[in-house]
Amino acid sequence: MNLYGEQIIDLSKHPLNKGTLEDATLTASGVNTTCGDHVRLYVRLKNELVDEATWEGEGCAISVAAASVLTEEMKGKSRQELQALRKENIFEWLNIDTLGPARVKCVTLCLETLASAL
Amino acid sequence: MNLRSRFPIFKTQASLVYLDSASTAQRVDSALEAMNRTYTDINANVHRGLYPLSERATAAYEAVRDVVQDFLNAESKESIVFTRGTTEGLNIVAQGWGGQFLKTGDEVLLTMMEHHSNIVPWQLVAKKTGAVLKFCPLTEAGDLDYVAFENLLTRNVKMVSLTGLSNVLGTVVDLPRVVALAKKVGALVTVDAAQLTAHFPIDVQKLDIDFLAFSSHKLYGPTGAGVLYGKRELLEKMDPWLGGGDMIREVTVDGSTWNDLPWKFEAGTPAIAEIIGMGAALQFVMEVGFDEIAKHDLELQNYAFAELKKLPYVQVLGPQQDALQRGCFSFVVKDVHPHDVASILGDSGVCVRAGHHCAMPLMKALGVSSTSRVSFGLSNTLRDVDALIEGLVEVAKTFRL
Repeated sequence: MNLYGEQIIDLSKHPLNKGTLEDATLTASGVNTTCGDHVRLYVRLKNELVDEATWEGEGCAISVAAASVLTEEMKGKSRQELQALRKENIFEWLNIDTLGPARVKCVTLCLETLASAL
Repeated sequence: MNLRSRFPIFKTQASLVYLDSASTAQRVDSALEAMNRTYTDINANVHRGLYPLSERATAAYEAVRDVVQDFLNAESKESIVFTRGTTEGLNIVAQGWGGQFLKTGDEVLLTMMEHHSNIVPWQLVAKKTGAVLKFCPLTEAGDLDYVAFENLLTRNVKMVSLTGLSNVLGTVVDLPRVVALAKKVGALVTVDAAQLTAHFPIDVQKLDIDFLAFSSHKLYGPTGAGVLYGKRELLEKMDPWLGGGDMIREVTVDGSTWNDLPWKFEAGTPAIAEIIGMGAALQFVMEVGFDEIAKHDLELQNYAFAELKKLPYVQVLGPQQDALQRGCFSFVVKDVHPHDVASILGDSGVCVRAGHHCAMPLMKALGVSSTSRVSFGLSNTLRDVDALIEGLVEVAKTFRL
């Protein structure tokens, strides 16, 4: 199985929503201590819904793709909906069937960072 | 030289391309057999039983000290302490010697290419004693900056603790030069020889090294065994590291007296089989001989450097000269994260390490967050390099480089 599908490669080369957000309502940082990947999430809420979500950081193709789709999918969601997000959602968005234990953290880093922001 | 058949892992993993010996080497058959025989033929505790089986176990265990003495050309067996590995050895020096003798304002000189296990123990002891840690930088080519080293080496430096061979860049340290400079200011020298022992012969007397630590598992032996060499007069002055059985002479409710060297530092039942396995692994290395090992290492690395030059998207870090680099090298693939490189290589059966290699200060100095690393051992052949190159071509294809 090739983990590196078209979509992941595309997103790693052209990440979505990358950058800081000056007027963010929520921010949080996360680090994957085993590999040094790090991410900082910025979320702006408007009327209790995500108006804008961006991220900054550095990591492998999987983690860059995950942060890209997560911030994309966060838009328009309520806090409650954000809290309900699971790694399986990201797997689905990225067309990943399974990930070995060493790489699953690449997907969950941005999700855990979001959880700590909420 | 093809020693692949001496490594049983390739019987069950025939297509394995193992390029991560700097992390842990594959085990040589004779070490595994020695361990197994320990359990099947002579299994008993050492230094305790009065029956013949225990005497045989003790004799086999203590015979490894002779092997290590020979391996390091140590002056006596009292200088050879068995440990669980390099990390434990360096902790004994830092917390044992450092904790006892360092004072506020004393300095410990390390280098920017140290493994975390030669940084963190010193940070712990610096916090307790008020000693100051200093780090010698590298040159842009990845060599130790000897000019800076000399400048940092003031009279306040009581200990120089450094690797003999970088686990990230493969940089060879000029130990005679380092030791000579250190001795001029009266500093002791500790060598982290975790990588060094697999690639270069060591003569602790000739080099006048004070402490030196290495691990069995990077030398084709089992995990959980290692050696701390220390000059006898230094080990004698030091308090024990762990308290327990075997390290005492007499225990009363009011206090205890210590066993002789080296057992003063070997509390509890040791990893008997692993240490006996380590002895067999050291014998294997000495039988191959360091002249052959150097030839083998250089053949592999020079072939790899030449082949990698043909891949424009690969950049090799480090000195890349025969005399300055040995056993491993780090590289980056343009615009591809090292974990993706290692992951794609892994899918084609090629095992390389990716990450910070337990050397985060060095990564920062190199201006990268992580690298991919290839390291060679006696189980490798040129075909492993071919497989690496094929794997990297696959990485480039995947990432459309």
